[in-house]
Parts: sequence; structure tokens; C-alpha cells
Amino acid sequence: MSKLHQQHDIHTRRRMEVVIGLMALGLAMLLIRAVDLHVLQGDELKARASHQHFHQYHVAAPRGTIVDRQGRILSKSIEVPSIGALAAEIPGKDLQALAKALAIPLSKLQRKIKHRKGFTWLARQTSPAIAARVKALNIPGVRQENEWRRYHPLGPETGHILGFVGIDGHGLEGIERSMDQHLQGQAGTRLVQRDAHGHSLPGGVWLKKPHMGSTLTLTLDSNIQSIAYAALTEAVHKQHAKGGSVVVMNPKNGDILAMASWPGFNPNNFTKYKPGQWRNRAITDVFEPGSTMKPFTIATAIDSKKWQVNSLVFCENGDFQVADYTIHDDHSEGWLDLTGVIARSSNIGAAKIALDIGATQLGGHLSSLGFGQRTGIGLGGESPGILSPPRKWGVVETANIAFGQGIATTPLQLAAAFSVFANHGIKLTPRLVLSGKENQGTQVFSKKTSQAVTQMLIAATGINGTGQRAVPAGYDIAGKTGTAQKATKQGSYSKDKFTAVFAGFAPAENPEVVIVVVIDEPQKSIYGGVVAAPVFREIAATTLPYLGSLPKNQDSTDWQVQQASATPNNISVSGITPHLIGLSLRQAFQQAEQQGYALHSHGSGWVTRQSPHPLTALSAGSDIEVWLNE
Amino acid sequence: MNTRLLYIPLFLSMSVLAASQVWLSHLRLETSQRASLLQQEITKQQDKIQALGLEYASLSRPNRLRQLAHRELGMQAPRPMQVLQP
Repeated sequence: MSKLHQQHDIHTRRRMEVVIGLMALGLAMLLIRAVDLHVLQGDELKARASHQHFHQYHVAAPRGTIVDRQGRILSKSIEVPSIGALAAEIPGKDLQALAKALAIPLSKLQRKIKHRKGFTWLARQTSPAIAARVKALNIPGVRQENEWRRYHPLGPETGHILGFVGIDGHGLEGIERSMDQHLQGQAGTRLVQRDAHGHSLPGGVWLKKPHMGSTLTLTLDSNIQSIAYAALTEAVHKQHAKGGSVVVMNPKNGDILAMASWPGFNPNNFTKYKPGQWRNRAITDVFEPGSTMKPFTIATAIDSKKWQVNSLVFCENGDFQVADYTIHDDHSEGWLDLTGVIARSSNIGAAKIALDIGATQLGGHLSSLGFGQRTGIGLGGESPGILSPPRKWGVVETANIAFGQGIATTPLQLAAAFSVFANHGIKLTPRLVLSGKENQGTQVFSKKTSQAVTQMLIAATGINGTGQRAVPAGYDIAGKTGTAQKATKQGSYSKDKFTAVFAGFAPAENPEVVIVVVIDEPQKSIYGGVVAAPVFREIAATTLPYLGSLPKNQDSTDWQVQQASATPNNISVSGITPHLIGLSLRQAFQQAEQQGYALHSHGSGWVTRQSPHPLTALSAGSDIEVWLNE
Repeated sequence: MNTRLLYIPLFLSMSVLAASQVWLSHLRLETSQRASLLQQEITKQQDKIQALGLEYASLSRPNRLRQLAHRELGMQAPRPMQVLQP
């Protein structure tokens, strides 16, 4: 019995030892695991937990806005939806509906997600309507992200200057590219807490706040830009021309008020245009300035003191031999003074003067005027033009350059050079970005020389001048026409391809604007005075009153406008509805009767509304309705 | 017996404090959610202002106004002699 009892005790003890051993082993394993989790893997697990609890994401910042000198928006970024997806998670049955919502063919959608397992864009910078349609489908794996998209409200009118921005938010052309660093915003980082399901909890903190790019104010005036673009477009269409460009510049400070090129392109949709259409012709395309170069030759001659305003030059009756080359004039001339050389646009006169003053002096002045160098306006792709060093000029080159052959310029260079005459001989660097800094200039010609040449340029737009079509009623214009044959690839001059140019400033006595118009390969007429001068007139006629410069001659008869009073109610034009708003019933009846219209009134007191609208076309004897209010 | 009675208000106070704590945390969460929604609304309105500003710039572009004036009102650009007060 006792032996049996003893055996039982041993058995019980061993069982207890096994249990205790197992428990000790379990505890030891737990301890090891605890040490492993807390000490060995502690940092990594802590980071993983933190990553699961918190989520950091980048917030893109918008680019700065570009505005014109009046603060009107020219380019702005707004947030638009983009549709992305984890391709592997999209159920095959939903593809048809998704393609329909995205407004793309199913095959295109299938190509987009084929062989893609990770994230892929389905539609970037799309419309809110498409985004709403996709969201309504609630397809697994498809999500909406917001991106900044650049919009240019003036479209093609400012396309060449502003350029455009790529899908990644970087400027690719124009000001958007050259001022990219200034306009670029700084992305921010935000930290948010997430719940067990991974959803973001309310709140969150900015680790780094996003900063919008800086606003950029241009010297452009969107009204003048629009006027210039419309006038250029009309002229190019009318002439069936290949292209054209216009530059409008303030000669007093170098501000570029407008710079238009044709053909245009819409920067909001730039991929639909050929890269050649993105070109800003006003700075990239060079042309031989032709006769618009003559004022600079004459100014150099006067500045040299060898020639006076009333000096005479014999123009050889239309043909002049220089070495083995004959120079022709369109109209054969005999003796002309310097004004005559400009006004009659004599090539021979300009050539003889240039040969007299010499290549070094003429070349030096042309270089000081900025020919052959980039203006430094700050746009990419600007051409320096062509001006070979004067030491390489022979007599033929000197004679040719005097009347604008063998030299090439951009419209912007020509505008900057003409502004010298409008600014008392001081050359200013043209600028596109408005800054408070004064534009420091350099004196190229004396004030006296500039004034003398300005008078000659006024004569060139006078009754006997080649540029008379450039003159809007009521203003004096100083300007010069140019008609240049285009150079061929073989190095000779084309017989049927021309560049028509007009360069000048207005009003001549107190210039507000320098305008250069270049029409490339016009078909109906080739002459600058016929093709480009009317564009100048159109722009000047609209721009000058807008800038506050009123016409000085108010006695024109063909305007059908009474200028007697400064109140609009007194404007009386046959065929035009009189302005009756603000008048009493009696005065309104009186005006209507005087102009042969029947008046119907409603109410009493003062005229607050009228139909038809004031100044619209109205045939004689028609009815006018007015509404009056006490 | 007296000692036991003393524990009752203590227990009640602790219960009230605990309940208040729960209520406060709910309130905090709700307020935070409301603030977040308001912030979202502010952002949305700011975006709308930006978009409207752009739309205004687009609608008031000189070319469009010129065409509307010409087409709808039969107006022409004033000639220099017609401008009396620029």
C-alpha cells in the first residue's frame, strides 16, 4: 500500500514538474516575444503603427495669377477634377459604364488599364460634369483627385505672349515659361489622423502650408491687345496673307501695351495646334525692314553734322549704279531734300547718304538702336535679328542696308528703334513685366535730330507721303511705310513674296504709342502703305482716345457727328437713334421730332429707358419708345 | 454603515465626471467634425470665387464685348471724333 502511495506521489510530482516546466517555457517565450516586440522591433513597429494612424499627403499649390496693367486676369489656375484608378481593382463588368461616363471609347479605356496593376490616370483635368458622372457610378478602385489647371480667359489674343502650362504645372512657352520660377507655387504637406478603417478623421495639421505662386503684372493692356489682335486678324484675312504681327509700345517708358501675332492659337487647348503656330512672330520672326530703315539712315546723317535737314541729294532719276549693282527707285526722282528722301521713300537718296557717312558710323548707330541684338524682353526664342559687323560691309552692303536690305529685324526691335524718335533720341529697353523701377535709357540721337526726323516722318504720312493711309482723322502721325522683298533659300530675292510694314508713332507731337505692323506675304497688294498702314490707323484710332489722347482737329465733316456739345444727348446723327436717357419728356419729344422720329412714352418724369438703344441704326420716321420714372 | 454612505456621493461624483468626460469627448469630436465641414465649405466657396472670377474675366473679355455690342446692339467702335470724354 505504502509502495503504491509512494509511486502515486512521484507521478503527481512529475506531472506538476511538467506543468510548471511548460508554464515556465510559455512565460519565457512570452518574455522573449515581448523583448522582441518592444526592444528589437520596437522602432519599426512604432513607425508602422504611426503610419497606420497618421497619413501625410502633399497638397499642390496653384501658380500665381497673371494680370494686365489694369489688374484684369490674363491667366489663372483653378482646381479641376482628375479621375485616377487602381487598374487591378476595377471590375470588368463596370468598364462599359465607366467608359461612357468618361466619354471615351471602351477600347481606349481598356488600353489605359491593360497591363497596369498600380495607379493610372483615366482622365486628367477633366470637367466637373464628367467627374460627377464617374463618382455616381461608385466603381471600386476608381477615385477622384483634384489638380490645378491653367486658364487664359483671353484665349488666342494673348496666346503667344503668355504661352501655356503643361499638365504637371510647369510653364512650357511664353511668359508662363520664362517666369516659371516666379509663378510656381510651393506645395504643402498635411498630416491627418485615420481611424481603424483607414478613413481620415476630422482635423489634421499643416506640417508645411502650401503657398500660391506670386502674382505677375504685365505691361499689357488687354483692351489694346484685343484691338491690335482684331485689326491684325482682319488685315491678314483681307489680304490672304501668310501671317503678321503687331507691336504697340509706350515710347516714354518702354512698356509693351500689345503684342499680337497671326496665326494665333488658343493656349487653353494648345495641343490642337502645330508647334509652328505657338511661335510669337513679333519676337521670333525676322524680316528685312525695307524703307522703314531709311529714317535711321537719315538720323545718322544729321547726327554726323555732315548733313542738314535741308541738304539736297540727287536721286539719279530712278537708277543708280553701285559697283556692279543697280539700285532702283519706284518713282524716279531728281533732287530731294532729306524730308523728300523719307516722304518719297527714295532708295537711291538713302543709299547715297549712307555711302557718304560711311559704314562705321551707320553700323554703329544701328547697333546702338538695338539691331542685331536681342531686346532682353525676357521671352524665350527671341531672335537677335541680323546685322553683320560694319567692317564686313562693302559699298553695296552699305547702300543696301541704308534702305533696309541686307539687314533683318524683328517687329519688336523695330518698335524699340522707332521709340527713339518718339522719346527725344533716348532708347529704352522694351519691357513686358510691370515694375516700379524707372526704365533707364541711352541717348542714341540728339533731341534735335529726333525732332527733325519726326517732322520728316509726319511728312511721310502727309498728303504726298507713302503712309497717308495710316492717319486717323484728327491726329498727326509720324511713320514710315516699308515694302520688302523676301529672301529666298537660294540667297536671292523673291519676285512675288513681300513683307508689308508700317512703323510709326502717334500723336506725332506727344507720342503715346509706337505701333509696328508687319504683314507677311500679302496677296492683294504688296505695299506697306496699302496693306500695313490701314492696320496702324485702325489701332491708333481706337487706342489713342482710350489712352486719353483726344484728336486735335475737331472740324472733320465726314463723321456725321455734331461736336458742339460735350453731352451725349446732343449727338444728332441721321440714321442713328438719339440718346434720350436722362431727358425730360418735353426734351425727349423735342429731340425726336427734330430728327424726324415718332416718340411713344410710358410714365412721367425722366427718361430712364429707351428702345431702340441709343446710337443704334434707325431708319428715318421710325418709332422710339421711352419709359420715364419720377 | 456611515462609512458606506460616504462612498455613495463619491461614487456618484465619479460617475458624473466619467459621463461628462464621455460627453465632452463626443462634443469635441462633433465640434471638430463641424469645424472640418465648415473648413471644407470655406475652401469650396473660395474655389467657387476663383472660378467665378475667371468666368467674369472670360465673359468680359474685350473681344466678346465688342462682338456682343456689334451683333446684339448694332453698335460700332467710336471714332476718335465721337469720343468726347475719354
